Amino acid sequence: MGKKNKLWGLLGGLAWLLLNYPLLHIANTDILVAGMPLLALYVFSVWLLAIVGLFFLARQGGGAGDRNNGEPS
Amino acid sequence: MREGLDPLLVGILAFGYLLVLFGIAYYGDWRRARGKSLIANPYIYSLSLAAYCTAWTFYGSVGKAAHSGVTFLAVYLGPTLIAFSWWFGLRKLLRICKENNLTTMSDFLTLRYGKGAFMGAVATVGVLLAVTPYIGLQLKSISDTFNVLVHGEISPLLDVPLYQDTAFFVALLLAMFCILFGARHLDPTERHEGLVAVVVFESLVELLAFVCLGVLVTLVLFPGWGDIFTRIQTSPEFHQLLLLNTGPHNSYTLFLVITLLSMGAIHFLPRMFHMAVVENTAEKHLKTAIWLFPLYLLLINLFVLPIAFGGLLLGLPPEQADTFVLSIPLETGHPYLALLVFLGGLSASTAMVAVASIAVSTMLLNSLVLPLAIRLKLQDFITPHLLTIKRGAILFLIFLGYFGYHFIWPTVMLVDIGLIAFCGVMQLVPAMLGALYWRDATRWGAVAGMLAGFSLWAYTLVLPYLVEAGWFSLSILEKGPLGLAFLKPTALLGLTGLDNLSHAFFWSMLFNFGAFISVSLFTAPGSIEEEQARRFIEVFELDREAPLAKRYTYFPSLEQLTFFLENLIGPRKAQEMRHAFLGEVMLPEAEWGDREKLRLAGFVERTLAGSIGPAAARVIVEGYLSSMGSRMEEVFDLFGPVSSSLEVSEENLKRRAAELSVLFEASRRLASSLSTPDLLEGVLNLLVERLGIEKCAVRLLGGDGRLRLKGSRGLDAEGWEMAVKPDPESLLGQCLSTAQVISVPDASQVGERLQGLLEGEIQASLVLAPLTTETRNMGVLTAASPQKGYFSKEHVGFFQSLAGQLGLAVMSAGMEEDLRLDESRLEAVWQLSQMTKATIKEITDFAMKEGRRLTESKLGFVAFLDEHESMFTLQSWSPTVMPECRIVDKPHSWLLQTAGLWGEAVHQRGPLVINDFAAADPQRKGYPAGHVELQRYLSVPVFDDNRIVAVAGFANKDEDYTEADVRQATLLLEGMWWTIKRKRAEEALAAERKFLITTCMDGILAHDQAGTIFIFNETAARILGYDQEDVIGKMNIRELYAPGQVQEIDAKIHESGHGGVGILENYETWVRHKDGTLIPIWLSARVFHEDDREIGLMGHFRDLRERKRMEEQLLRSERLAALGNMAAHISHEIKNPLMLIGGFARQVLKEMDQDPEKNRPKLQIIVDEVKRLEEFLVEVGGYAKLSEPNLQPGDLNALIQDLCQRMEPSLKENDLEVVLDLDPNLPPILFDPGHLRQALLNIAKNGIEAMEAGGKLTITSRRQPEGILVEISDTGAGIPPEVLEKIFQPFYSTKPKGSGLGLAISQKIIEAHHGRIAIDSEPGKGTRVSILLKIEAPAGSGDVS
Repeated sequence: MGKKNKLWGLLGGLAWLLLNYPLLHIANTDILVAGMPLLALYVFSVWLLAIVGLFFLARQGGGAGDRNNGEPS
Repeated sequence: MREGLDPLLVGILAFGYLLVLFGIAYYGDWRRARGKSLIANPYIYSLSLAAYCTAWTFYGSVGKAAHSGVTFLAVYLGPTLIAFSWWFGLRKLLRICKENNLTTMSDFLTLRYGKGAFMGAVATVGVLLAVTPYIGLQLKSISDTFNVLVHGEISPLLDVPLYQDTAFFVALLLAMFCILFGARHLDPTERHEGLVAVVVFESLVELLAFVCLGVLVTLVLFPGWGDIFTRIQTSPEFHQLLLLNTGPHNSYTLFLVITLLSMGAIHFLPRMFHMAVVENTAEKHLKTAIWLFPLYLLLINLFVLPIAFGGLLLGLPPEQADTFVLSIPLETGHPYLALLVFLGGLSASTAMVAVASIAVSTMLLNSLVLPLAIRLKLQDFITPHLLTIKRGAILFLIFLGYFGYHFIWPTVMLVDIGLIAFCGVMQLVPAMLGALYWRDATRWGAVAGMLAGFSLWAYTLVLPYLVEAGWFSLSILEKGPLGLAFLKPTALLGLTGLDNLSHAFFWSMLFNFGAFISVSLFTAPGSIEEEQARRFIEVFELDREAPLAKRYTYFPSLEQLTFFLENLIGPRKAQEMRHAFLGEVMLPEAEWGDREKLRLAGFVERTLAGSIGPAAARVIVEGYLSSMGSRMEEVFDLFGPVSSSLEVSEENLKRRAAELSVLFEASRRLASSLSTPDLLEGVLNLLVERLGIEKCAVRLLGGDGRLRLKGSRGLDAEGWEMAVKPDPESLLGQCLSTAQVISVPDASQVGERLQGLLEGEIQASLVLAPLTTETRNMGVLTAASPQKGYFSKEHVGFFQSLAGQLGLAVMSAGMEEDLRLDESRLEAVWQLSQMTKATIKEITDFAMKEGRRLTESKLGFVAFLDEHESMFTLQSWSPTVMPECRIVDKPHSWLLQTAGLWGEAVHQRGPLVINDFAAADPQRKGYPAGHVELQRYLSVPVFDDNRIVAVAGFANKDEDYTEADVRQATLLLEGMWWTIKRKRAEEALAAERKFLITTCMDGILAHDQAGTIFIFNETAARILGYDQEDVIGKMNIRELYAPGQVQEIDAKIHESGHGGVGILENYETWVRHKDGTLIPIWLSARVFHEDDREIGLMGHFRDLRERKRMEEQLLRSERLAALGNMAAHISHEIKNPLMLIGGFARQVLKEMDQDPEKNRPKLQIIVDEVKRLEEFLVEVGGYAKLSEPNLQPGDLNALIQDLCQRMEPSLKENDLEVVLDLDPNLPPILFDPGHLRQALLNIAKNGIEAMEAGGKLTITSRRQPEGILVEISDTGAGIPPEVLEKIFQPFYSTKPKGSGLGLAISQKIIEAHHGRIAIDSEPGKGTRVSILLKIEAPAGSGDVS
């Protein structure tokens, strides 16, 4: 397992933990932050961060065993 | 109630929107056909995944949010989380599906878990059950939203008749849409680029509509998000919506479960699998989709909460939250925005229905319909209608969804139906994960898991909804089925505290994984499964180390391959392939190694597989590559002109590929050695199976110019035996004479030229192709169709090529058949030659049987002729003839003149062939009436030095007898005759040998190395008193010889002293008679060899009993004679002195009274004579009683000196001189002094007596190499030669007063001392006696006997 592959797993696991009980419970209060409910803000933030993480991981060339497929140029 | 929009307007708008979608789809397909794929783009791929968002997302999210806050987000968070695994998981799935051309999940599972339709069927049925309500849900949402838009409310469902139900028409419209996009034609790759383009467009419309609505709500209707959320937070009624875990409807557990469900659903919902895997054009697109698709999900959900809360705050009824997105703009006076939203929802629904119905219908077709058809052997019936069936399946699915929603679960909420489907497809997850990662996963494990999972899913999740809809008694939910509380669907085994979904998820996954893992652990995967597991799990590794299992001796250049592909898929696609491949290898062609070449071959194959399916593609590419530089190249060239001039349509392409594979297959059969019938059958099968030609036949031209039907398909087989002489004007005749393909579009137009064709062949169109080689026309291949003008120009080319190949094949098969016959006959002849133990009858029977086989005749006979060729004796005949023949008196021998047909070959002195018995022929002789009917007849004579010795006949071959048959029969029968002749010679020889052995006067026997006797003639049996039968093969030679003799004979025969090594001559030994007595024999024997190895012994012996008896008789008579002689001599010797004594005694008695002095001389004579008599008797007694010498060591010289002293008085008396010449160095020897002194004394006395006139006696002793020589010589009168011979005989004496025993005694003594005595004499000069005494070994070891 390459370094990049471990990173995929690590970030995925982190996102999974952040979006589940009990960590989710920390944000589960009905207060508003900047006009947004904290829970929604929290979930969307983690979500966005996950997407950013995915974006950078994917940009760096995936992982081992990359293969171009027959795409007409 | 506000006013609704004009239904006509909404209807036209919706219809117009659908038309736009058609346009996009058409454009997408058109672009694909031009090779400029619209969708081969990572952003398009990412957006196409948005098919995940259905009407449920569009309407249901808002509804869910209005009920339970952020829980709905879990549905979209799951895919985002699982996107972290896509680079390994989804890409692996993609790779496997691409490499194996898999288009559905059920195919994937079927391939991974070994062949077997059951697996796919279970998966398909489960998925169908899960997805059908989902489709219904989309219909419901379209019709509901339409009604909301038009009437302002959802029409109550149940009381609307079918023809007024909007949803019914929506279903109809959608079904048309799906069929038009998804099932215009069959595409083995199941790629629908137009559809993908539509889905992407719809995703954008969805997003646009949602964002527009969001902007309206947050900015126009409310002053911003903050305002909405603040009001919700402060609302005692709604502030709970900002929290999770406030009840079972939004618990953490549910949140977790939905996250998990969505993770599975994003891969394994049929539409998602189709979009993500099947429609993927390049793996690298995943890299974009990994982040872009979650981003899309985030964006589309961004406004869900504000919209839901806004709707609530606007006072819209919460129970209609599902339609908030429409009612908000309608209520607030933005009808056109409502229309846009409607179109967005329509997009979501149509996209889902289209993709899902196409994906599931493919599963239905591949995993249910086709396997079932194959099992029921209906595939021939079904195959032409696959497209129709697929369209039917789509229609079926959509209406199943419609009727399901309409009649079965009208009351269920949108969101719930979606989650039911999610949980349903979740049941595929264990098997799919196992397929990708677990090597020990077995088919039965997967089946067990799926069955358990689907069952529990249906029981715990689907059943409660059906109960609520009123299909089952409520008591099932409340008290459990049959009152068994632990079986309550919503609280299985008493598990409570979970919401229904979590409860169902838990149980179904527990049992699914449990069954899958445990059954897998306890079942062994089959070998195919194991191999597939390896291929699936190691798909990335395998790629890296692509095995170089194959090598091509000659690999075509890229240019050649491109040209080859151009012929098949058109120049444009071929060029695309070329560019794509060059882009992939990134190496100039000149630097390619084996790996690149193999990759190119694989690449070409995959490219081709996309058009004609993987199986055909493999056949063609393999065939093409292996045929490079061979004759087969021409076969492929055939397609050059045809295809490049043609606008390639898929149908054409497939047909051409099929034709190509037929040609390829046919030429492979050509190359392998098959018999003609097999070859023809094979090609006809290929025509039927691969090309779907219903009626075809092959006719071959016989030696008689007739065409015979050799094989047919789809034609009445009545004409099987039919032989036709083709009229030159007929189609068949013309085809043969011109060697050109004739294509007849309509047989009724050429009515008079149809001679020889079968009824079935002349219904409408017909093709006749000549089977030709360069020199010869072999026959005709015909193909017919009941459809007029069926055969096109390309068909003509194809048949020309196929028939040409077939001609070559038939010719070579013919030659091969001749060879095979030759081989077969040689084998028969060899077998004949091995039949040494068989009788003549068996040999002829065998030859007749083999002859019938070689000439394929039904009947046969073999007859012998006598030496005058006049008498004909039937020797062997086919077994069926005699019972069938109706001739009553069947003679087996008759005169040649009366033999009729059977003897004809003898008359003609050559082979006779009659191929048409019915035809009149004046030269022919008939066969007797009542004989089995003959159609064809072949007869061959067998010659032995110009004399015909036998005749064989064969009859009723199915075809004409040819030269080959004559040759085979003649050679076979010559072989037979040779065997018979050899057998006869061998028999004569054996008889002669037997005669010799039996009549020999000596006993003859032979035995092998083990001693077993195998020859034992009569004489031997007579001598030994046995019967021959008791001995030969039964007795061992040891039982016949006297004890110890076997070893002795064996030792003797291997010495050289008895006639040579390995030979024994006249050896006297003993054998044992049967009664136990020993019989003396003279044995002469010889060891015999085979390959320098002793294998036995053969000997002859003579009975010596008679001879021995005669010898004894002779000896006895000799002894008697000697005795008589001796008696005469003794009586003579005694008689003379007795006469003197008697005479003088009588005179003394008469003159007693006279002067006594006067009688004195007379008395003196009497005394002397008595003394002489006494001495004589002493001598005789001494000779007779001579005892064995008592040997002791002693000095011979001393003995001689002692002897001289004793003789001194008589020497002096005769005045003789004695000379002693003794060797002083004599070794001591063994002798008996008394005996030896006697012997020497006798000799010396003789010498003294011979020297009456004085002389010299010389005694010498000398040491000599062989012993001690003692010589006694005298100078006396000598002995004449005639006397010398008898001098040692007893009682022979020349002296008047000698007893004749002196020398005889001496000789006897010397011989008893193992010495030699010799005498030589010269009359007048003297005599010398030589005695040689051996120097014996030291005392005790001497040979005393």
